[in-house]
Amino acid sequence: MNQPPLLETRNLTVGYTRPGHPHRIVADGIDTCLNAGEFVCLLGPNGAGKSTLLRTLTGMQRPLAGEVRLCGKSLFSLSARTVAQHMSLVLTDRPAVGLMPVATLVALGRHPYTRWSGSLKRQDREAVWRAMTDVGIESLAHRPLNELSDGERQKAMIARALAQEPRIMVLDEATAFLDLPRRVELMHLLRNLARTGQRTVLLSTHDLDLALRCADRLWLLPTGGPLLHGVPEDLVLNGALSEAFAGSGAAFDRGSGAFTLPGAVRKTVALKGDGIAGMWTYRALERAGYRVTSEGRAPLCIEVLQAGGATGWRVRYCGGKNAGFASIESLLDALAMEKTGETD
Amino acid sequence: MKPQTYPAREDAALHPMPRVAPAAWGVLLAVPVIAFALELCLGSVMIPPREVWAVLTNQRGVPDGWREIILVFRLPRALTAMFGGAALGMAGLKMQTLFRNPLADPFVLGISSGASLGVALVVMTAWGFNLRPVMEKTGLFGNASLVVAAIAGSMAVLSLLLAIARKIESSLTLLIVGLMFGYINSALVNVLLQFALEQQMQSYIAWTFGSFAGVTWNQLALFAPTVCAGLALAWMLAKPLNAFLLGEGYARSMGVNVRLIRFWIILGASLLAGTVTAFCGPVGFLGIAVPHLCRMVLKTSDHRTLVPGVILMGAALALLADVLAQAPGTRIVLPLNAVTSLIGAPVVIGVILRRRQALEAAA
Repeated sequence: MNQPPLLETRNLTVGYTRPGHPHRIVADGIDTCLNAGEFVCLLGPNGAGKSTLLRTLTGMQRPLAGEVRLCGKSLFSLSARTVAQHMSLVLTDRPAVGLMPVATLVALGRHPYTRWSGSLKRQDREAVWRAMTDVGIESLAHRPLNELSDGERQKAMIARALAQEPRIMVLDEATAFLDLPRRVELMHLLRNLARTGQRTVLLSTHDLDLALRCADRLWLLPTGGPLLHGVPEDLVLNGALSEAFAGSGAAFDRGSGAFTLPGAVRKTVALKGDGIAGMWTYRALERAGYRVTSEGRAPLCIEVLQAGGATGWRVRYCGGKNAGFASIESLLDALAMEKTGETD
Repeated sequence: MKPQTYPAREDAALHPMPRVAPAAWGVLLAVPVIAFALELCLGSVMIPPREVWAVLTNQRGVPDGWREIILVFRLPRALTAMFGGAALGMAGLKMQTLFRNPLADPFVLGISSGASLGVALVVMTAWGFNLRPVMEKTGLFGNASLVVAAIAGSMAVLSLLLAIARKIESSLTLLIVGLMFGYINSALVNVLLQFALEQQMQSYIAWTFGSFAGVTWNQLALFAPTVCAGLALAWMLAKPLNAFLLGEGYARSMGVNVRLIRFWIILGASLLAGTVTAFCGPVGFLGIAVPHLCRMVLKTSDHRTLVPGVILMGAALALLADVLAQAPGTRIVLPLNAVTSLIGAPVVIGVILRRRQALEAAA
């Protein structure tokens, strides 16, 4: 079986044409593809052209050069209706349509399938219901949109995109407005939608941490650079991720899989202890500016003690002195005092 | 899945669109019929409903004066108000949806200002070149020539707009271009008025008051089919208009050919607004208020419901406003625009303050 990929780009150049000026190229030489069942996250610093790329892939703007192929056919040779039956879209902005109930919004997704009158047949109504069930908003079906929270509204927009029964769903920073639990929830939802429905989900996001955990593949668009793609862990290990975000104020730390805050390192401390308490102690120390190692050779050694559900911290100084603390706050305060007491 | 959720599921699956209460449709149908009857009965002369019916069914025994009043004046006037109101409401609905702006009205793209310029030119030049006697003899001056001038003016603006619309991606840009056309046209009208004689100014200002009177049966033969065509076009566009509710990006992603559909929306709305302006002058307020009131009464943003709703409500409000403008029982006739705004604006403010959601919903 030699099936063409769902979406494929060939030497694609994206950017803007300006009358009377040379083209403004945002990114070029893009060769990539999307396959069924994948959840792909598009990452890149602001201004690298993520939105421009998505606009070009969804046919909202023409490429400056190269080609986008949808199911083996050139995207711009297909009718808007055909494209809509293969690909649906969720955008960042929140449409202000207050009086519309959720089910009506989701039913708008049937647009490419209904006749001129827009009346819904049985299969359309079933698709609407299926989309709402898959996203888990069937209990909201008759609620007007303006009564929903941001998270619920974005789920409704995703259900609308699902009702379009696309092979590919493209989401442009669709999680941007949401709080962290809602973002995690949506990322899992999108991953499941990709896996169970054999569709491709392409999400542009700034949520590096979540993207690394959830995405099957990453598309990495560094400023001006060519698009890199691969499994997240490969891109971390070969340094592509650190490089893409280099020089933007925060550095990507391969060890923790997150951005580290820049700042002078005060001193090295050793940390003993694992599990949840160990992880949060690590983060607190790192934020306070300590370099944390797990070897015991540092002048300071911090131990996380856990007994009977209670958590405590013990600091062993190099002189053999010991001190115990009941919270991370008191621990950090004591370490700060220590620092002013001696020169490093 | 739990079996007890099944009934709810059927319900939602079968009716993703909210059903409008039959009572609301009943009211929407009844009000224009009653208003139409009032328009025929009331005026400077009161004619009893029975006599009106006798005239309409061509029975004998009705005074000739009444027969003439009804057949020559009131019936064409009522029909004009009915078609005019429906047309303005529909044009307003389309503009509000296309530009996703609750303040948009049928004239937002400068259609009426084009008509104004045409009318101002005719009024000024006819008097200025002392052509009036000639025109009166040939029947060119007066109502008919104003209609021709207004049509020419609005069509000129419309063709410019459509030419630009084909090249422009964003509707917001188009909106700004339309507003600028409006300013240019009113500036030119102001310049003309500056050099106008008092009589010329008066003819022009009388035209800007708006009126459903004075449209003859012959003119109705052009007016009514044009409006019907515009309304039919709106009905054809109900489905893509729904897609436009989410904005042009989403509309395109749902398979709408945005530029083509936008072309038809503007053509349809401008045809409706331009025709009404040509025959009745720039009738304000109905175009912005009718869609809002309709959304509130029918509690929906679905254009497949709103299109018939706006037609009925537009006809009803235009007829009622025209009845009031004639100040029944007196010889006074108030400017139509004064009535629509003086009575309509407080009503809309009241309704909107009570249900603020509806305004947000229009965006």
